[in-house]
Amino acid sequence: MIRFFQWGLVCKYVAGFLLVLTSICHAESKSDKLDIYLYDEDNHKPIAGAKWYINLGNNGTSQDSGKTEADGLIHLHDITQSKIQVYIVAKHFNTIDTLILIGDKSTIQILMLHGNDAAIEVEVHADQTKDIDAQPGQQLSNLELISTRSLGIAQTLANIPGVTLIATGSTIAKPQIDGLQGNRVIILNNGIRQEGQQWGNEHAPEIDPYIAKHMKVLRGAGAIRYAHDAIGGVIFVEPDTLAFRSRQAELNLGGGSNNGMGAVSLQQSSYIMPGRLAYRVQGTTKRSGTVHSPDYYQKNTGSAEYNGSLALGYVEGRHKLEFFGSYFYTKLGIFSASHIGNVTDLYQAIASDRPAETSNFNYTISRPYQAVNHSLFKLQYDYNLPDSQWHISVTVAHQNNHRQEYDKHLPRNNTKAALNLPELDYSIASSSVDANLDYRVRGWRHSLGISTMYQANTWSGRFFIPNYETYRAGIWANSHYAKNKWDVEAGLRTDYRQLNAYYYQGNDLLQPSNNWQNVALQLGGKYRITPNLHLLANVGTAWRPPAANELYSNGLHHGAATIEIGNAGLNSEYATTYSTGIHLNNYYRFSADVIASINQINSYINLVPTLPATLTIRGAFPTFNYIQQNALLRSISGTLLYHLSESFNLKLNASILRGTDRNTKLWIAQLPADRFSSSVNYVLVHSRGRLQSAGINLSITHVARMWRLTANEDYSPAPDAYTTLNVGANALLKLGKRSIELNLSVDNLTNTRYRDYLDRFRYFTDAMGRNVRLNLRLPLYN
Amino acid sequence: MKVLIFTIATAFLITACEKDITTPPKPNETELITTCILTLTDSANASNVVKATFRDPDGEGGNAATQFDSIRLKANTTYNTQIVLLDESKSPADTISKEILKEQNDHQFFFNNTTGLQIIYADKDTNTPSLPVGLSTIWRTTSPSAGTVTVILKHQPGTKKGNQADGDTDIELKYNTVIR
Repeated sequence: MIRFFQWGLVCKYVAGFLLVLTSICHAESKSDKLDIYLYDEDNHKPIAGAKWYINLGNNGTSQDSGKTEADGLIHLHDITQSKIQVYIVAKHFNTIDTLILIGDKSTIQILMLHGNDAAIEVEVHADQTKDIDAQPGQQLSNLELISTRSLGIAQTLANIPGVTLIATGSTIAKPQIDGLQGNRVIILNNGIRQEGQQWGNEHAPEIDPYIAKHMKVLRGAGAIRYAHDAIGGVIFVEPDTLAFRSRQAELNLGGGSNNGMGAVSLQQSSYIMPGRLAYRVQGTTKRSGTVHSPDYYQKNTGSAEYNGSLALGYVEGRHKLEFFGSYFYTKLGIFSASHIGNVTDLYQAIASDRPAETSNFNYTISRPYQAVNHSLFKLQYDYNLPDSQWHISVTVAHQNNHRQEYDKHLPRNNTKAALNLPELDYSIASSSVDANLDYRVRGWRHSLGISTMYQANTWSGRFFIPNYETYRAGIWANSHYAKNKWDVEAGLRTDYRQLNAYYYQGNDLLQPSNNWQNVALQLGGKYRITPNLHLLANVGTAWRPPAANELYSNGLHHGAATIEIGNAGLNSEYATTYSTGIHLNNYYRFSADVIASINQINSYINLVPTLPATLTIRGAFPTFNYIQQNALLRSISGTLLYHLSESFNLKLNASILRGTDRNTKLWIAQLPADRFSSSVNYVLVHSRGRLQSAGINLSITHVARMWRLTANEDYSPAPDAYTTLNVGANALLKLGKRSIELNLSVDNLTNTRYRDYLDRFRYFTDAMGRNVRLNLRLPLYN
Repeated sequence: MKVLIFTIATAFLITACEKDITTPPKPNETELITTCILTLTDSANASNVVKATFRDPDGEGGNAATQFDSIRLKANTTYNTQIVLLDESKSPADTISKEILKEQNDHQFFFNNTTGLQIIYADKDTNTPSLPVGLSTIWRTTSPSAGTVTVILKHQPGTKKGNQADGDTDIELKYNTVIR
């Protein structure tokens, strides 16, 4: 058990298995310094070497971290926020994850509790996201998570500068990191690589955003611990840790005015045997109706989503076993006027200002639509060797992804049409086994891992990509060294991959097989000039073999009205990312996180239009072939925060990216336009009565026109630049023993008409108009 | 604990059942129109028959079309025109135009032609008001000219009103046409 001995603080969140006694006091004045002393609860000796991370409570853009010295002291100064999020991990002690309200006292003591499960828990957690300091990455703040997750997982991630959306209308979006998406971005869903049909731009990640407690993005190549092919980066979606000694339940509600969206998510975590057997069950349901653009409704844009998950954890001595199972189902209406059968219709649709089909508001989902389900099972075993320096982890996982796409166009034959079968139907099943060994000694962490996977894809309906199976095997080693002001990391990885495809050409069954093998490496460092000023530099490589669609797709992409032809002769892409960054935390009133990077991708696989168009019975279709280019992407993105006073700050976000073919010097298409947003934030410094904390903000987002395009490469010119205005307010209210978190925001306040370059439906419709959203998080008990 | 492990193992086994990936479906099982044959018979001289065929045996994508004839007509002549649609990827070939006729209330051909040609629908569906289907038409040529005739087949289930803009396009073939 931990106890807070000094007054002037309130504990809100607790990492699962901790019980907390909270002490409440409304402070009259506020200190800008805070010394936190860590003591062992048993013998009251100071705890040295505990790792700590501080998140500022309200905007989360500032973080600080370090390790306690022999006196167990965490010294914080220049605190402008009224509350700070503190996360402390120490070997043999239970992890502390709590919110501290800054009061008039400048010193507090935290007593940390020993626990038989603690050492393992600390290792597991630390290994997942907190320890990779050398590669540039950003984590979403709690507020960003809570205020945007009802929109979807990609939309939530887009809060991070450098992360943009590849959208297909208002309801389908996938994240793009520094201009790279699809198979070049790896999503780790609770530590498991998400394996769906991620090759399609209109295939959104099949993950319930409400499951995530933490979301983080690692940018660029070099995440060799997780993948060899993460050329764009790695996205971490982490649920809360299991609560072995406490019971918690919370209700999340989300609503949106524009499309009548409503989301309900319930989560309960508890234990069956204290300290030994714990579980968490969670479920989400979400419905939304027709999306409204400023002048009309986008017909058939409703959606439904039903998700659930169960986690079980069992700890016995040094052993820990964790099961995680989740199910995701979505049915997504596709904007009717976007589904095009032929090129004449396509140009007609593009030429008209207003879609040919509009409708009234409703929740009906009719053709065209997608129905996708994804299930994931994971079993992880962790073992800590007696000296606690060695740690072994083995994970077995299985995923099934079933995607059905229903065209607008019913079969011509009425009998076949009556069956209402999907026109495209893919099933992909993936099984993986991963094992890691970590060894920690005197500031070093050495890790060694193997990772294997088998994947099988089958289809029915219309041919687009063939049946295929993939075998993957990899081995990696990584060393991380942290001491005083330095954090250094180096790693090496080699992988083998085989892809066997099966398809008919005429009456002949073809069975091509491909093998690839290559090496990826990473070298990075971080230097803390002062606790509030860090510099980092990283170089990493990644390679990605061509995917089945790039090799073998052949056919008409309905809806897109293009013919896409794979290229069986493609080689692997090989990327090298050089990045450097600076991190300031309230340094002369400035906070900043800025990352500049160069991503050089050899044999970059790109789908480009080729002439002549393919003549078919339905007219001539634009034809796209896969080619390879030597791409060079340069990006700079980041956040700058200026603290005007304790309560007021100004924030600027910017993402700028340039991508060219190194040989032809031509621009590469489908990259994001320059994006800037600035906001003014007001934070209530002192709690007032029931209002524990509050904030309001006003932000302006400006997206420049995408002018870096090669002529005649697109159906229509890039849309104009646009500016949207957003306002938001958040509050933490105390009702009895519970704290309710409320968040109200208005997106596109002025109901501006705009179209975004990376939204495929920009050809057909304006983007979503004004949307008033309300999000609420209510702990039912804790 | 044993129950837990058993449950999990069972879950893995159940989900591990797969379709056989080494025997993929044949891609031609879906409905295709591979061939469109226009047969134009001179109403004054039954031995003067003009045939114009479009043929893409493996459908959209894959291999290119193997045949796309021009339409060569005499000036100031009346032709009785029949359209036959086939799916030649199947053996024996499916006559898709019979299906169209059977579901005539949901389909309509449209003809967009350059000057020198007048096209009159000869057939009508059973709708009220009845609208042409276009499988059978009368083409009247006037002065010699050269241009194109675009044959369009629209699928308009429940929305057939004689508007070319409605519905989905099943066929859009631009035939080069010469009238002399």
